[in-house]
Amino acid sequence: MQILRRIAMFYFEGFRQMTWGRQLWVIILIKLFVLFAILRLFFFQPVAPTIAQ
Amino acid sequence: MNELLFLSRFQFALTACYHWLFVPLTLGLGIVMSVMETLYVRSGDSFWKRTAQFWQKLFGINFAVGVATGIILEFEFGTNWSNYSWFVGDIFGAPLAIEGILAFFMEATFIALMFFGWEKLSRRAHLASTWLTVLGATISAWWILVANSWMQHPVGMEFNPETVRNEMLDFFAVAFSPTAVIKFAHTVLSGWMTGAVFVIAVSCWFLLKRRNVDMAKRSIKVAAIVGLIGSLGCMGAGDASGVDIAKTQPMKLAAAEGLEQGSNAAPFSIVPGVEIPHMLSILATHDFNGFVPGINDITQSGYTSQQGETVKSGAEKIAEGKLALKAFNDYRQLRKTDPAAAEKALEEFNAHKSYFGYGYLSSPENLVPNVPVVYWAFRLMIGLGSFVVLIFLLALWLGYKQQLERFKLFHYAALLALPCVYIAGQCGWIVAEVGRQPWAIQGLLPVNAGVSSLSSGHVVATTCIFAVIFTALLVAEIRIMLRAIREYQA
Repeated sequence: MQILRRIAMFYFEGFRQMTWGRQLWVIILIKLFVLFAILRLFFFQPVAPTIAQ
Repeated sequence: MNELLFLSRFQFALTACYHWLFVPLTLGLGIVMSVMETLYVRSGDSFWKRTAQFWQKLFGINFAVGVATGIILEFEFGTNWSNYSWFVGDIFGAPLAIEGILAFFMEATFIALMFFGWEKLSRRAHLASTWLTVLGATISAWWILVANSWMQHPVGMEFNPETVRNEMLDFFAVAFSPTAVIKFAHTVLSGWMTGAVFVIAVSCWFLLKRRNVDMAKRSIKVAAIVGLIGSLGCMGAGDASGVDIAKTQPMKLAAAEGLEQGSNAAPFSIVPGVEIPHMLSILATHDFNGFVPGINDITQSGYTSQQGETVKSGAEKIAEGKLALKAFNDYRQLRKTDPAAAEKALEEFNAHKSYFGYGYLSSPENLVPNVPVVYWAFRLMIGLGSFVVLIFLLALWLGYKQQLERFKLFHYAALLALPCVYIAGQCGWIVAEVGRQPWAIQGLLPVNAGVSSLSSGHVVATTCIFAVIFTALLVAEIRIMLRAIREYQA
């Protein structure tokens, strides 16, 4: 458990101490939202293949 | 070409080119920053720590904006190219899955240690994290290039007429095919060149502004060595690629050379009208008098290859392909109602199945890719790549002579080299992918048979959304990168 706590704190403190990284994370999150919540959901549905026809 | 096919190809090309703006810098700048951090750990000189941290910051900016730009390509496989995905997914999906499970997890794990761990990990542990981040990115490149290489030269699989798809027989033949190994070396090392030019260009900007002079000069020296090593490897792999393509994709080579008629003394064309006799034979076969087939040999007459194999003409292959397609359709229709007739149809199919994909084409002219695009993209790649190599050599010479600060012409040339190396990289992919046409999978599946039945409006809409959103992200990246460079004080 101690090791898991240390790992969690490593990430928590790392994200908390970010400076220029915050802006980059905003970009990453916007991009992932557009990709998965808009493009993937509404436009990029897997299409049933027609090659057998 | 019909509208849907054109739009689907255009979207994939646009998204792939966009993705390729970020990947080479990740691969190359990763090496440079890792070398610098290694110098820090070995020498204990905090100069190298501060310098490595600066380049790592720029690495992070590029990585953050570039991450997941490849995902859109995966989406397109499923939506725009569903026939392709069905037909070859059993093989194509495996390297992509391994890329996600192995390489992405590796990058994600160690990049956190790299950025968050400077004051928390020991020097050696942090250095290992940095190198493992770059290794993760490189392994990611391996698997995606295995997938692309399989498109160029499909191996290790068999077509199953029951499931109407290709199924993997030999994973290692796919993962370690000579085409994949060569393509990996050539592509990754071109990334090293990109990263090296980036460092030299930014450093030269500092020299022009008379800022961070010591950091700039020492960064240039490290980057020039990385760049030169990358260049030599890239050129060697490029040579190997030429020999490989001469065997596996002769039409691509013929198009890249604009070679209408093959010969045993095939000349290399520098530009139209300026040729070096025998040079193409040497490059393609490593034989002064090696036979290199031209476009007419491949489409019209057929030829005997350098390896002594009789290669049918395009017209003959298309005729056999149509026999295979008809026999396959007969088999699919008869297999439940008349097993005996279905068995005969299957035998007929097996007799001609090597040219199955050709059955989708209507004439031998369909086998010819866009020759001017491939021809000039190839020359642009080599020309701009050669200019970049000169920059590395000049950087090392001026560094040796301790004259890096003096020559403003070199500084401006290095700034010019930055867009040049990006254009060279894009041109390389244009040669690879446009030269592959009309094939989605060489010899197996032409692009017109791989595309989904969607509405053109759908593809137009997604292309527009993509173009707007990701151009905005690219502009944001450049602005953040420029600000980080402007504000840096060594």
